[in-house]
Amino acid sequence: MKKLRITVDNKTYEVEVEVISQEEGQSAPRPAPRRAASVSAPAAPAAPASSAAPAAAGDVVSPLSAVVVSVDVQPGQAVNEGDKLITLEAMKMNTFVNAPAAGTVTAIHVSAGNAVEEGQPLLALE
Amino acid sequence: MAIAPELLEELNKRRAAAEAAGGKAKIEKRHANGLMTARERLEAFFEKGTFQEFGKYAQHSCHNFGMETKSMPYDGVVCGVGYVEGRPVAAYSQDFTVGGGALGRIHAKKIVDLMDYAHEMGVPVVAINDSGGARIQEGVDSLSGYGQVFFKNVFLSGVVPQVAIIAGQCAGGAAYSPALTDFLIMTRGASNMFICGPGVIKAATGESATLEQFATAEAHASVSGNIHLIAEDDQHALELTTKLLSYLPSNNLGDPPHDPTPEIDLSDVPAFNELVPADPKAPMDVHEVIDNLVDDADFFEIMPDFAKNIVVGYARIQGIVVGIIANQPTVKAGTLDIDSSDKGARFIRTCNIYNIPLVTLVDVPGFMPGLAQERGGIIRHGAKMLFSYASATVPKITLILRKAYGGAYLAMCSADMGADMVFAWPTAEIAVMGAEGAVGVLYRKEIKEADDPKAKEAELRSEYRKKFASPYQAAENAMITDVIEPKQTRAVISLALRNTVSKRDTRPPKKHGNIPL
Repeated sequence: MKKLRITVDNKTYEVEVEVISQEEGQSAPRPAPRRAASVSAPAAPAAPASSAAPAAAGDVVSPLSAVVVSVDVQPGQAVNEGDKLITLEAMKMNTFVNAPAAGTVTAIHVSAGNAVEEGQPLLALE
Repeated sequence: MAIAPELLEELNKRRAAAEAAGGKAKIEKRHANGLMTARERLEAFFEKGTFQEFGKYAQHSCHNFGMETKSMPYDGVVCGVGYVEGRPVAAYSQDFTVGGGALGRIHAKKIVDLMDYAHEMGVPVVAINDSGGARIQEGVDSLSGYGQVFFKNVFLSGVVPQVAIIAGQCAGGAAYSPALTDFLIMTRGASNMFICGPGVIKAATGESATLEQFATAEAHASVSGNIHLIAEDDQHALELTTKLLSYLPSNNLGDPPHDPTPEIDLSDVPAFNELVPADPKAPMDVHEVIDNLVDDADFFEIMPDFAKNIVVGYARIQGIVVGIIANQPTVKAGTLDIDSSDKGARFIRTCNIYNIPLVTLVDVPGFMPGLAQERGGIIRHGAKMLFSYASATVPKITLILRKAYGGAYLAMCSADMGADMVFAWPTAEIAVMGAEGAVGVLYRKEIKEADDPKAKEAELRSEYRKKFASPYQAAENAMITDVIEPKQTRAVISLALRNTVSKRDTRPPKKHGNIPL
């Protein structure tokens, strides 16, 4: 038997509910296992928890957490060192990601509007 | 009557023996590797003929492990004083050809004596480090020697400028003497600095690490932030030191070598107007602002490769020596974070010690948000900026170029933090927070209840921007000295420096403030 409080149109009702059966696999939520008592600080998060794959050689990564404003190159495009590749925005300011060296854009991992984290690969340059 | 010839012979013999250093073979090997000897370094540093050597005939005092039969000319460290651009400077240079430049008791005594001399005469100390470390044969005498040098480094800190050049090996405890000085310069390719080398790291923790990852000039300049400048070779290291000293007084009681122009040039610099992007979101390279502000675009940047979101360095403005602290919007949006706060605060305090006026160029959107920053102690590190500015008693001139938001505005030397004069360009945005955040907080309900919440939000943001993202709210509250056209910048800052250079600021007596370290 479970006791619930329900509010409808600012009126509060207390009701009792009996659970007759539960679908398999949906057992009542168990409390999370208690953490081992510890005085140490919680561990620092490992790599950014995004879907981002770790940067590979040739990847150009984001210098800070930001939103992609525009991707300023096409796959296959040849670029010179210092050319603008991607425009990011964070902290009321645009940040240009420029080519660290001359090369060809082989893949683009993000598109305008994506949120990216510091160190996340934006595109690959070969 | 004349001096007995054998006495002169004896002197000449001893001189020659000392100048032979560790022997011809070792010296030739250095030259082949493009390295100067310890003595050549000092002779190149000082004006010709001005070097007076201290303790040329000193020898080690060790009687262990067969050392009593070995000669160590000047005990492996050349010490003395000489002139650099017309001013006396004390310097010592460790000689790697003499017992690996290792530090023993007499070696340390010579360094400490030289530092005592520098203290009493009020002259800078330049330390050229090139040493294998402690002279093991001397046991705790060697360890004690390091302790005495460290103590003297601290004793002199804030009294006379101390510059350390790392021109070779600098390992283990030896690295802490340079670390206690004002400025560290490393020569590229020729030097390493570390506490525990790859072998020790591997043995102690199993971790694999290479010297390139943590001990080179490049690693220290860009990653650890332990050094201030990279030199390409020995000669360049000495030139950088000379240039650095040209901005510093000989000691803390003197003014820096100002060379004020007889007349102040008050003409406009139209390039400033051209520099400012119309779009407030477009990054502006603050180096261009600095180059237009300082004499001959000659800006001596300190720590150029570390925490590039803040730019610090020395220059002259119509002859007045200044320390410039500027946000760099092209890197990390110009935010203040842990590293840039440390870099900025250290520089401000160095300027304050040596009576160098501070010119602060503000374009800061805020402190860098993020878990790593919060967990890394951005509160403690950012507080160093506040502490350094508020405790600095030198003239403080602030120019707000564009963004000046929230706590970061205060941390870039607002009037409240003790700026003597604050100027703003019409593009300045002085506000407690940005429009996006502020409107969300102030008008949550209005936006939610509007027929078109998005349009309402945009309208309110634009209204907020107009009202608060400008210099005029701060100006109306008498928080800034003046709003100026960018092209007037050089004239206005030049005048402000002349007007404040006589500043006297007395604080209550205390041992020292408690800067959050």
